[in-house]
Amino acid sequence: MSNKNTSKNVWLHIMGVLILSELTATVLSLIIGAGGVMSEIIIVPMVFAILYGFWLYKKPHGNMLKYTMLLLALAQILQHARLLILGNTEGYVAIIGLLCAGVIIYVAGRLNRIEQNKYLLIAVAIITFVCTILDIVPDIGKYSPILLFSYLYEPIMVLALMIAYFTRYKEHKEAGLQDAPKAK
Amino acid sequence: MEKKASNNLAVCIICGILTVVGIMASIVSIVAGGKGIWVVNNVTDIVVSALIVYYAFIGYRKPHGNLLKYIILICTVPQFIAVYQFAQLSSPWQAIIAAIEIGLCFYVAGRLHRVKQNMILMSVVFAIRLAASVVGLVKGTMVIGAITPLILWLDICVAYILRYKEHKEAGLQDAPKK
Repeated sequence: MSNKNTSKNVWLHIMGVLILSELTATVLSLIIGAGGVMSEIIIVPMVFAILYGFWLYKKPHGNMLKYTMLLLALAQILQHARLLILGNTEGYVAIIGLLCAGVIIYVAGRLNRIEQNKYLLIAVAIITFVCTILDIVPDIGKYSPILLFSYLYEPIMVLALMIAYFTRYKEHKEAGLQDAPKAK
Repeated sequence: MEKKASNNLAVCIICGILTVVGIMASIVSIVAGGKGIWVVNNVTDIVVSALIVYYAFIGYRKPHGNLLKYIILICTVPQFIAVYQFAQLSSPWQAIIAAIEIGLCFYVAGRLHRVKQNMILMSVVFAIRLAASVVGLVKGTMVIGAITPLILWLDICVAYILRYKEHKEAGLQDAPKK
């Protein structure tokens, strides 16, 4: 049991480090004006994820995780639509990005199906990573390391949310602390 | 009870007719020389329409929520194309609204068992599609082309509220998986 807790803590700290570094890179990019087409809204799900992973989980509620996922998906939708309109991305990359946002929303709607959602989220994490790389590679010489890291916000956030989901949410569900499904 | 059943049948028949009109319009659009991405759009419309007809009239006899879920998910395909088209036409708001609509559809598909809450979300999607159709008509886009997404969504709403809800109330749907 103790081993299990230690392993969970390790994962949560990995999540914390990932989000905090991403948050710093994003804020820096926005402050120095290098963000370009970066949307400020992406900061909100990052803060939410940190809050859920470390503080707010103490009063168990699945909705917080759901809203974090929905906010991330909204940020993704706005970001991809913006990139598409400005012509800064390939059409198919933006469409795949939108599809990934859709899948995140789908998962947010059925958080209780942890086993099935696992595969969906892993697929989304891989696809968003590949899409981001495809977006970055053509102009990779232009980016500073900070900007480069800030552009990786999508796969990093998906990874962070997966960790929060598979540790905190699963833990509460197994302990029977989640709200029962609402009346039919 | 009998009156309710007869009302339901009337609604199903009206939606069936609308769907057939939508299918015909899509076929005419393809035959008339639609090309590229619009063919994908029309073919998707036909597939969704056929699935809705199947669900509403035949497939519902063996109750399963998944069919409706897949219909809603397939129904978003033309919206992805719409987002792309709006972005190409530099209509940012239309692109963003279409993208948010996709999100709403995915969300509803993920939680079909919450019928009452979903009805509000589905009404929002319907309102968005209605507004898009009106804009399409005002701008002079082909009439049926502008109305098809609205017809499809209306059909889905009816299938959901009549068939899915009916099976759910009768306890015929699968229990939510853990």
